Amino acid sequence: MLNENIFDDPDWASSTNGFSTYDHRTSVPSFDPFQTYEVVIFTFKQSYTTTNNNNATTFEEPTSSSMTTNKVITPDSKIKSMTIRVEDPQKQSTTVVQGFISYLVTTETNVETFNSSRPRSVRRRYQDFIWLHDALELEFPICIVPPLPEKHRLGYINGERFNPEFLERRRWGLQWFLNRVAKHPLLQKAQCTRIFLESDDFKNDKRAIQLSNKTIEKPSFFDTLGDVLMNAFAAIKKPDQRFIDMQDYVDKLEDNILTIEKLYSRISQRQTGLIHDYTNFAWSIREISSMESSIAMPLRQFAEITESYGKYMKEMNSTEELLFMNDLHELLAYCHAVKDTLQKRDESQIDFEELSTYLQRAIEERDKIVHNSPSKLVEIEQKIKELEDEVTRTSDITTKFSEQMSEEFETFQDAKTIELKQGLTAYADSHISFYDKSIKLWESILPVLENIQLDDNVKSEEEEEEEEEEQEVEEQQHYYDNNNTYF
Amino acid sequence: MNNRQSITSCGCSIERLLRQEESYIFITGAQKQSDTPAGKTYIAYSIRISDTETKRRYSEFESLRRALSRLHPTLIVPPIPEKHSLVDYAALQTRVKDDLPMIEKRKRMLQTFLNRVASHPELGRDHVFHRFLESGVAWSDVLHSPPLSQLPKNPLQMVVSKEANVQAHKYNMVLSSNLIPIPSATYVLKSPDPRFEESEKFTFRIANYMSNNLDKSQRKVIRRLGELANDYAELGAVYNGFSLNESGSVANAIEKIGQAVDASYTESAQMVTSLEGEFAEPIQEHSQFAHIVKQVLRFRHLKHAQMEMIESSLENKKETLESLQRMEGEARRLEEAISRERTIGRNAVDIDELNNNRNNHDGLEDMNDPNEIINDERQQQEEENGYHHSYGNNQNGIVSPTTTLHSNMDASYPPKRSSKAWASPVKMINAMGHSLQNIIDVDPEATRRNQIGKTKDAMDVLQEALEITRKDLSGSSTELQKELDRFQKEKIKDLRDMLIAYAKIHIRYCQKNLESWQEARAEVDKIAI
Repeated sequence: MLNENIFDDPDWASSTNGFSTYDHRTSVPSFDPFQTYEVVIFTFKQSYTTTNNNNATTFEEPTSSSMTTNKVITPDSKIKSMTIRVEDPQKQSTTVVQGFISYLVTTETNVETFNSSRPRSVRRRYQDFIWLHDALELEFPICIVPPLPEKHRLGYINGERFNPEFLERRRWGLQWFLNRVAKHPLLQKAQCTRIFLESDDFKNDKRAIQLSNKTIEKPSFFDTLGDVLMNAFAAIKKPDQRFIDMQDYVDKLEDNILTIEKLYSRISQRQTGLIHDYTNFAWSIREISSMESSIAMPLRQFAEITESYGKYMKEMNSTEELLFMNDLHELLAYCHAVKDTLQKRDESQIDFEELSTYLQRAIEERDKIVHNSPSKLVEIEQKIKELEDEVTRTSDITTKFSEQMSEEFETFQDAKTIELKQGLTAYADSHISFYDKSIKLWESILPVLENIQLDDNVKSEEEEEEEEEEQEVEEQQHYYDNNNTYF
Repeated sequence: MNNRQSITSCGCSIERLLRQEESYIFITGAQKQSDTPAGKTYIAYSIRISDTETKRRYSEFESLRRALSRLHPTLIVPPIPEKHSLVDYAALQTRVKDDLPMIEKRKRMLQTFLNRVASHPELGRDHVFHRFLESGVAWSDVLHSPPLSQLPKNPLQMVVSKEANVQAHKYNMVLSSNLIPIPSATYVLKSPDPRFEESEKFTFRIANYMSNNLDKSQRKVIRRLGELANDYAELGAVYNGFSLNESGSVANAIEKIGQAVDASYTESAQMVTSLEGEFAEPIQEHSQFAHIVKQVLRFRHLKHAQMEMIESSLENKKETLESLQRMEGEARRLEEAISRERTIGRNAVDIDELNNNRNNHDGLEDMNDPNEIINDERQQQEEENGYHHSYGNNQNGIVSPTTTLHSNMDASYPPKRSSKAWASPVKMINAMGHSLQNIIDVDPEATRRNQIGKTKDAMDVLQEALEITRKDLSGSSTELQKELDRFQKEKIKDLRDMLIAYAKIHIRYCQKNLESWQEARAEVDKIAI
């Protein structure tokens, strides 16, 4: 019924056909991601570059796209252009106590199933992201579904939910999540993705998928057999070198990231300590300036310069942490997701191998009793038949899983490359900005110091008064600035 | 002040070398050596001016500095690097003497010390300093010959300026006399000099502040930078390892980032070294300087105190003399009265009669009166003496002139017969005292006259000392004021140079880092996506 409501909506014209005629997810028991479904695609195709913020990724359409006005039988696994921006966290309170943050999610894409290719914005909250993530996992069990940023980031901060730093980190995490989804050839076209990115009636729309998702259960053959115990720690009999290499690579990547994180937390502490030391030093200079009246002005200015230097350092640290360390942390989570999928693939192979072994034994058993007890023969033949079906099934699964795995890994590598580039760019930029500003800062004090007269400083009283006024204004400005920075 | 500048130049070869333009004293090396084959080793520093070279060890530098301070207590003698503290010994695993950075630091700071002394208008001309720089001169010889051998133990015992027209910088007979009081540190000036009061307050504040706050806080920055440098080295290595696991443009970019971080390590370490030499050490010096200025001001303060005390002493002596002379007069009159009495009714005097009728005899009353007068005077004297006593107590063990006054007083009591009134306990005790005195004192009159003479002599000494001290105080105050002005200029110049160095070191650090990070950024841009 709910389905009907949606499909009757003229705005959904483009996709009604696909959903009303065939729903691949209702086919049981086997789950095949490559099941065909019909889509009507638009006649126009656009490839356009959207504004490339450094937080969104744009992809050029593969030039060999075969997009024409055809009914597509096989789904197009090529990546379409999709740009998503996550921004503008807003607090929305339902009650005084329970508020939540919603993010503005804006999508521009030429994926056909989408309503239009113009930018489309919706508001989503963290729970909605969780829904999308879980839906994708259910729908695409052999894909590497990108992980979400954690609900609570204990390692980094222990602030409240509405702490601006925390919000910023989470926003980035969500941005990267959607970037990865947008870049994945299958995930980007998923229905749940579309609903998430487009729907104005999200609460209802997602229920449609939830209902049908309930029927997706990978039935376990072992449920029917009952008394077969599968060794959870069984090892693969014929390991595939490709996957071993993938595992190795991801392990090393994880190690490297963890080492960097550990080292960085120490460095970050020391850098904070250094800022503190510089500030104390500046204070000492200021104290001296109140005692050495002949050079009080230059000393005060020197003290200010030193304080500003400390401030710049603080900014650099914050940016480093938010855009690079955070980036690495999300990449680490992505690595975990990759390893999880690799493991699942291994498990499917083990399933197949175990079943094959079991089948083999059953056949041997039958051969033994074939001449002895015809009654039992029937039973065993039945079992063998069932086993053969299962073996075939698991074999298919494993084959497809393995094939998909290579593509998944490539998708992962591409995403990783993009993210590393972004992260390293931000890392380098934060340093460059710091050093650049600092050079100008220290250079500005040189003429003041060089002008210190070594004979008696003779300044008119007026000059001194003027300077003092300027000084006060400057000091007020600094105070104001100090109290307005977030980081 | 022409007086001051016409210090006779010693005309020695070292002085000629120092006078040359651009002459700079270098400490060119530090070598371990020992005097005897089995003896303890020490570090000998090689000192060179143009082509003359000599070697001195740290203890000799210390000795030199001490000598200069004693010779010129009103001059601000530059500091030398401090002795190694126990903390230093404890903190290092190796022996401190073997620690290269420490040795380098000492070399630098000792070199700075020598050059500061050389460029000081007075100290640079000091022949003792020249002899230190001369090769082939054993320092112990210098210590045992004039002028060092002629220095008094306490600098207050000598004249320090030219004003007094007395030979300065050596033991002065007058000032070293037992009569001259030595003030204690807590003496409060009766009429302090306002400009020096200000200077003292200021110097006290700044000396405290420099060592407790400025020095400590700037040291912390440097130490933290050093720690960070090591962290960066580690991080650079991690990035290099990371790049090995990647390939293509990603690997290149990560490697370049690793290089930028390595550069941060190198530059941070360099910054630490530069800051040490160009900032931390001068701050340390000036921290020590502040304390030296305190000491110099304190010396002048004590000299001022001494002058006031001499004045007081002189006043007291005057009063003493006057009362002695009065007593002399009294005693004479008494003598005459007694001798008259004696000739008339000597035999008539009866002990028992005296015992019973003490009030009947006019003579007794007369005799009693002087006692009481003397007692009163004595009490008065005690009050004043007490004041003197508080600072008359000094380490040199100079006997306060007041104690002698006591015995003088006792001796000057008129002669008393044992047969006096015993009724009042006080008078009985007095009588006892007198009896004792009479036993000791053979000739009280002569003693008193002796005392008058001595007091007059003491007054002469004090008078001369006062004149010398007054002039010396005036001269050294002027000298000191000039010295403070000179030092202030030097300090401002040093601060200026230090702060400029600080800024420039930071600029260089940032520039170098900027370059390497820009290179890294360029490589990151090349990552193909």
